[in-house]
Amino acid sequence: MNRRNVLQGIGAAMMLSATSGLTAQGAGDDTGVVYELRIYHTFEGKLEPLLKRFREQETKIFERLGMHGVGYWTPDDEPLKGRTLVYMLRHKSRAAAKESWAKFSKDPEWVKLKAESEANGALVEKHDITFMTLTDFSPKV
Amino acid sequence: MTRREVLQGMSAAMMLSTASGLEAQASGAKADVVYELRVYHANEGKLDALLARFRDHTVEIFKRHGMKSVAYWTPTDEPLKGRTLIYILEHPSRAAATANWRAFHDDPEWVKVSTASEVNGKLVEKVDSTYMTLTDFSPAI
Repeated sequence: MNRRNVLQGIGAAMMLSATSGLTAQGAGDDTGVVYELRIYHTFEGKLEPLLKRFREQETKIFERLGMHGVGYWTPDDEPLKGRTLVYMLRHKSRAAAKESWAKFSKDPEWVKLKAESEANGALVEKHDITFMTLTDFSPKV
Repeated sequence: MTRREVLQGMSAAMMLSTASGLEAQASGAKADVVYELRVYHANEGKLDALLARFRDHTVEIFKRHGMKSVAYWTPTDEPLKGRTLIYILEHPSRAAATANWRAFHDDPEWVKVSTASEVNGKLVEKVDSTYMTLTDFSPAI
């Protein structure tokens, strides 16, 4: 199993229900908060346009819709290097995450941005999503 | 710590950041800093014991060896729920990460704790590690 398959495996935990967040064991005083780890596997040669899209507009749309960017990274080693974006969002709750993504997909700025950035073909081949809560011993982030 | 000591510390830090800032290309990134995303797949029924080991020992041992904990999470959905720990470490550089892990494995407390925690069998079936760099548009962490 190569690293890419491993990371794809991480993302196998897809969001299935908006209510599952209610039973999540959160840490500290903010029990509703959830973190979303997203790994984007790009098509050949499409990482740079993807990074450009995030840099110039996409992260700002996230923030406007209540999705807080914790960090955005690119892997340093093969086989993920040069073809992968890893990032993490923080949402107020699982229900808020669902609502924010629903708004995002219909957001006029996003719809336009997506169409323009994908004029020469889609950028992302596959994305992995993992929702998580902080452990009780974790630093706040 | 007196205010004078604090200010001396600040000016020393500013001088350091000026020097390293010359090499920094990214607004969110500190020159050589690397982030390590680690995903631990626990053996059946071993997640609680693994979390206890991190809570009681591992996090402190990391700190002792210059491995900064960004955060620790557990996934909220199947199939990873109840069997997975995800965390991110920050290392001063990739070379430091290698040296840090070596020092960690040789640490007497770790040797004792890992042996004691696995008298009834290994806690972790598999570890995935991905080294990453912050993108130029990422918030600082």
